[in-house]
Amino acid sequence: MIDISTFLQVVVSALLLGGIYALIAAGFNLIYGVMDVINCAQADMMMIAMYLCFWFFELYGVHPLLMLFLATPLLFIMGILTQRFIIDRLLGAPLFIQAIATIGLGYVLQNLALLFWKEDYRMIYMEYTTAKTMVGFISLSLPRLVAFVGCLVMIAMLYMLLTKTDFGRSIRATSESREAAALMGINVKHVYALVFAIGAACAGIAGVFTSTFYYTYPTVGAVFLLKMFVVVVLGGCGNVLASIAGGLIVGLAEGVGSFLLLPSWKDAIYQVIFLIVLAIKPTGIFGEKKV
Amino acid sequence: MPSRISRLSSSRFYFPCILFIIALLLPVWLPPFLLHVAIMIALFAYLGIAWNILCGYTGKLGWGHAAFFGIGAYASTALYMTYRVSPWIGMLLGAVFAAAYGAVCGIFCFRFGLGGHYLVIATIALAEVMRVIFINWDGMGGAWGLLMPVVPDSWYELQFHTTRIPYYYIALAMLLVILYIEIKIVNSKLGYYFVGIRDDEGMAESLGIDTFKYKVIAMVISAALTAFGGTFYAQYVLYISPETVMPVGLSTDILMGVVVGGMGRIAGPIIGAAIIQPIHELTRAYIIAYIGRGGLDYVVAGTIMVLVALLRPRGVIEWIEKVYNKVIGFLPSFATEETT
Repeated sequence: MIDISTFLQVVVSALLLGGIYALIAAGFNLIYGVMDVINCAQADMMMIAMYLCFWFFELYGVHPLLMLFLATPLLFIMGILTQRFIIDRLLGAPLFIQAIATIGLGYVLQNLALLFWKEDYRMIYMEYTTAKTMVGFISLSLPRLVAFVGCLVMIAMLYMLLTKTDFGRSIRATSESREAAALMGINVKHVYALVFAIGAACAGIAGVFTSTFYYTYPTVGAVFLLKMFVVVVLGGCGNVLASIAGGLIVGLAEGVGSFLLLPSWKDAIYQVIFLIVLAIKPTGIFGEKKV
Repeated sequence: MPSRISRLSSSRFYFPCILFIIALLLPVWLPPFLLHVAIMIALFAYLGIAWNILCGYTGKLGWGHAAFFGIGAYASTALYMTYRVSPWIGMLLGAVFAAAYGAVCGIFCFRFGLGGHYLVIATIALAEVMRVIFINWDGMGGAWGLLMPVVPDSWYELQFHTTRIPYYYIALAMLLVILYIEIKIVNSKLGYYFVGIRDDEGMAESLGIDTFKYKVIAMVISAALTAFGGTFYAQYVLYISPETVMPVGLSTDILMGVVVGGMGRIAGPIIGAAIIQPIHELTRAYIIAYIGRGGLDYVVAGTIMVLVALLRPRGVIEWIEKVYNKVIGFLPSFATEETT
């Protein structure tokens, strides 16, 4: 009954979406791993980037992908400001206080968007966003493919930054022990500000890619926020590369699940998988807290 | 020893009484819309206290209370619509169902020793799974939800259309009952176990407290009490759907009030609800109607959340307490024997 080519098509599309989940989760995971802070506003920062793309396209006709060079630095700056004024004062505060602060920030962002840009679902319509390529007998949406590749490249770059550079070494040192890192002459505050900014920039990049194939609306973050948590915990907290595995699993569960069952069940499927993983291995598939 | 009369005349005793009498008399002069705000304050104070039992006292941060709320709302509404069972009975059944689901959640989460953010996400996921089940449950109206048949005002059917005053008194009565339950629990052995688990779980365990059992008990109590609120809401709004009674946002709204007010404090949820709910309802009614766009209410609420987290992580109750004690000290106290 199930047509193999349709099934493959579903699997591939699901995996492509999983790449996006992986990138937002990677930024979240970096912040969590290094600073022990849960940034619930991560998905809303992504929403801001999506709106930036939409408006620059709508008003000035800027190609969404070019926005990578504008939205990313803007989100980076936003990350630094957020870290300076909010997160920095909450380091070491109880979990729910951090959560409340970042959820509050998310609410503010979401509802400012609602206030200024209304709740309309907006989509960038241009040749690029509707383009298709055929790979064998599978038809792929070009923006999704580009987004997938872009996200994987970004995660790879993030990984290289963390493992191959001095700055990355100081980040990893800070995540292992704040005090020891400070004693070794690492400016911990500086590292925290940059880590948070990089996390926000990841959300920005993910937002730019997402805006090319998904609707932009004020609460779009909610679609991604819960998935982001699940991706992070599935893959393993604090492990940036594991986000890829987590993202692909969530994407697959969602895509294949809604194909085999009804689409209305799709949200339950990845959550049940998540709960099962949580029960068997609470540290996630790739265990251990590390960056 | 102060005599009974002098204790009654102490401002520490009669001032809360005055506040309570004001609350009782509110419907007399409040216009219907403000009465609605008062009802929402009472309802969310109620829900906040129910949440506080699990999270404020036992220290286990659950983010999925919307599921219990929804179960309560659905149980009574479905029973009423199929068998015409009075919502008062449906309320009890809803609490039983919610307690059962609470037990499932509690056993799942605490058996595997989930804490901190794992517990937060697990409870969100458990609540979301329940929401998706209800979306797909055609017998329960699916994603459309259930629309209560409208009947003339009656206490038996718990529906009032001509006036909101009975709803207000029911909400107030529920609030008083849950306050009584909360104070009883907090001052009982059970309450000490809860606080012990919150303050130092390992220590509590080593003192011979079965922490798993008591964490599940806290979850069950909290779930059952939340379900009553769900039934009340269903009877008040007369329309329920998975998107209105089970979204994650509802769980956030409940706990937002408590955190703003003060977690693990008896009056915290009431103060929080009294701050957050008017912001929602009043901006929704006036500003949004005026500019024709939503959003401002949550901008204000979100800003308050950030400010509270930054400035008063223990909740606004710290400020209110000072003012309250000043008022009590200022009021004439006739209890001359009390020297404190």
